[in-house]
Amino acid sequence: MVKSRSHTARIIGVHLFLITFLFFVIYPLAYVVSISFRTGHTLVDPENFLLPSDPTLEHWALALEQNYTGMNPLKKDIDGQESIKFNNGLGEVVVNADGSWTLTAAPKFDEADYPLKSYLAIAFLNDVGDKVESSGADKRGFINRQDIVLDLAEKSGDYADNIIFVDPTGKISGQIDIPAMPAGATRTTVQYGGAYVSQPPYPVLTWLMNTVKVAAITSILVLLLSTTSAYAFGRLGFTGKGPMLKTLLVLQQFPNTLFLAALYLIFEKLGSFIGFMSLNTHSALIIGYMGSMALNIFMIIGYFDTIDPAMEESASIDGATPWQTFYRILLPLSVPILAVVFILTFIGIVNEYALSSVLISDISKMTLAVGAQQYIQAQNQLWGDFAAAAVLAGIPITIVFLIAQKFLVGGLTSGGVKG
Amino acid sequence: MANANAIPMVPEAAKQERWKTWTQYGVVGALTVFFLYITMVMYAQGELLYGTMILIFTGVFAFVFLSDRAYVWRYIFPGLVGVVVFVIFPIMYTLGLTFTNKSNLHLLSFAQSKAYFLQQTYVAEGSHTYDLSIYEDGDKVHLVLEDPEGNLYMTDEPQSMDHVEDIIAPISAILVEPSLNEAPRKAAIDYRNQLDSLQLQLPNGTILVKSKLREYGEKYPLWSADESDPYKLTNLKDGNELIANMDEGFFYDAEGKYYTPGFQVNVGFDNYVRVLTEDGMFAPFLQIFTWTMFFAIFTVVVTFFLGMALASFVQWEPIKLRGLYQVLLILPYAVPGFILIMIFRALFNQNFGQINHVLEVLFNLSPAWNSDPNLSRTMILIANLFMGYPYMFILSLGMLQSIPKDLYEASSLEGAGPITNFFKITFPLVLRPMLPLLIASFAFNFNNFVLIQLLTRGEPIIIGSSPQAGETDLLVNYAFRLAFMGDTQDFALGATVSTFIFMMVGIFAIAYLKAAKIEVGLKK
Repeated sequence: MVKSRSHTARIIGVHLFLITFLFFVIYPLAYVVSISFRTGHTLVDPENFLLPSDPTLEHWALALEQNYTGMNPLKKDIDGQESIKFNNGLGEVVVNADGSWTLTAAPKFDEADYPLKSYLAIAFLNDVGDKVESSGADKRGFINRQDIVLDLAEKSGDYADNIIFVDPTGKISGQIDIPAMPAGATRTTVQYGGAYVSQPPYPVLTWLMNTVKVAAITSILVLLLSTTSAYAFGRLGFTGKGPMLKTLLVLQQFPNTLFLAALYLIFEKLGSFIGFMSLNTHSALIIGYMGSMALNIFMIIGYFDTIDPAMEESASIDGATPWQTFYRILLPLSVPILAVVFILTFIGIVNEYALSSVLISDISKMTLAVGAQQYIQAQNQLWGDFAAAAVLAGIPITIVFLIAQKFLVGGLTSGGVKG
Repeated sequence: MANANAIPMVPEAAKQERWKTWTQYGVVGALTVFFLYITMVMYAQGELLYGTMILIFTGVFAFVFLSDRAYVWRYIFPGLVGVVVFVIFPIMYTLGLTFTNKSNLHLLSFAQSKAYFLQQTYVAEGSHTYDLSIYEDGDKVHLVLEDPEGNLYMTDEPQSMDHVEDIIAPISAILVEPSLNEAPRKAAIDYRNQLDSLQLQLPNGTILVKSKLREYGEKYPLWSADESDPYKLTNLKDGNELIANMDEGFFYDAEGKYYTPGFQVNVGFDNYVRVLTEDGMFAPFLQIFTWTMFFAIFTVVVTFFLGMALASFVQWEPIKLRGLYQVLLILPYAVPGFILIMIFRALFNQNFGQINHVLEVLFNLSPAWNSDPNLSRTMILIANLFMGYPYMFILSLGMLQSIPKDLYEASSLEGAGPITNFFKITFPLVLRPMLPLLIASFAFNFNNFVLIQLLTRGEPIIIGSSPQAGETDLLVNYAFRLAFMGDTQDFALGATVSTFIFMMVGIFAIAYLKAAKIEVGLKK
């Protein structure tokens, strides 16, 4: 069959549209990954659109609750001075005008954070403070850079020869040549790395554990209660069934954000009598989530309806109790819908913010959705740390969702309605 | 119940072995006793409402799990209790709150508030004072008091100083200083909160309370109740009289100054009147309502068309890599919402965000996404389209597959193009089954609390609103702001706004039921 020109044009047009659209869909996701590898908490990297120009693993180390040892680029003017002194985190450094220097090690940080790294270099600056090009300078404008590392004495063999090694009690001296000032420069500076150790600002792994714990327990309980309810509604006869199910569906439309204040006050009151329902406990949070399962019940009933009741009837003729027919026959046949309900509930709880933010106030008990907000305070916006924590937490959830999406698509369409 | 599938009510088949019956009695009995215990505790504390609720719950629980006649109900009882306790009761409670003045200034009942005043104490001038010193005893400490005559008293038991509630510890006279190490002087500062709530009782019954940083004094009740007038309190220190105002929920003195804590009183329809007539509330309320409606309608309509268009593209057979496109298009739905929203907050940051950086470089523009109301709303709509279209996309994928292919073949024989096909075939056929889902999506977006709370917190603030309301607040965020974010935490006013939302949601729910033609258990 000969394809018309307009047909080909249409295909190309659709591809172009989808690719453009996908750019805007994927860019924000790539952006957060990019931020998690950037030095500092910068939202805009003026040199690069997406790839970090100065990548670091600091935010990731902190998200994994590890201390991170790094160094800050620092500098001190040396013009017209006999010697300058500064502390680079490894110890006290004295640099003389002739370029000879000594370092007396007195590390400020614990052994667990070793090795501590630093460097010494010369750079020439102009009036504005920008680096001036000169011969022998590397791409960052450093001349005669010398790397220094501090580690336990027995580790001295681990480092290459061009790195100056010092142990925590040692004292070393060296020589850094200070070339003549090039044209255009007005200041001579000693550039050095100030070793620092940053500590995780928030317990991300604890939050992850809390979230998984709350979501898993809630999902199991919801599954338990909604399957038994669905069994009664779908298979057993009792008066008031229809109106009751309709009422449940109507109530389902009232999200708990509408009565958060009431829930808060109820838990505050009940919690003062019943320990596991008090504010700031995971058990209270889980109990609070128990109210919303009408949609699940409905989804499961829908699935039960597709299962031929003949097998249950014959079991019941053979003397099986309703519980036995439910447990031995119906449940094993319903595993797919149970998986859908479990995953949907699980993801729903992971994303839940409102109730969790109201009931939980201890940082160590927060779930991810609430905890992640802690990074972004009005005065202190730790975007880099947030990004690493978000990617760390987001990836497993995203993968589970994508794997399960085939089931979920079916669940979403069949569960919501019967048109 | 004309359900052919239904197994009749089956106590006959549910006959069980004897040991199982006894286990059932044992477990249900133990739980019943436990619930009854909680009921008693509730009643003892004067919590009639909660006590009665738990009593009813206990009765129904025991009946359902012991009586064979209630056999079927055993399957739904736990689920129903969840719905009743955490949906129906909170809704009722919210409605009840709207007729009160409950806020963090009026949290207690009148009796509790009065009791709070009567518990307050003061150290009378000229009474005995005792110098405090602290001695270490292992992890714990002993408190030692010295009166002006030099007599020493020491706590009978070492105190662990980790209590948070008020406690009273007995103290007795000792003859010589204890042979323990005296704690550093700053211990009195470290433990100041614990010392504030630690009262000491002398053997003769006198209670001593902390009066200065390192001093205890004899305490007297600050207020006395009036036998004849329950609404009157007299200050024993300066003779001031307080009268409870049962309309306002405060104790007032003669000069009209109120004393905290206030108490909860019934205010009738005052909250509704406030929302609907007060200048600082009605205009913002209307504005927020309009914005909420616009937000929800816009989101549903645009995400629906976008999702359906994308689904049509992805299902068009000549397009290669359809599976890959499909997975990538679902991606925003798979990533947790609280992360996506924060990414948008970063992208749209007015001063440091990537979007303004690009706009600045390309067009020298820097829109005030965070401070201009309309731009903030635009940002919210963009973010919500991003987050909302995958749901519609997924739904449309399923719906499109159910449209018979020969319809399109027939129409293409007639010479119809893709646009005509979309509006004449696809759209009408998909709209009907999608309608209930669209209504549900509308109801969801009407109450899309998290998006606003994480993206803008409702800011910027509406000028002239009092209490504060946000330009980008949805109604549900406005209710939350009133109840949790203000200085006064006005739960009652927040509940009043929630009540208006209940009415709206009720309408959506009925529309949903009508559109979905819900039928229960009667499918053939």
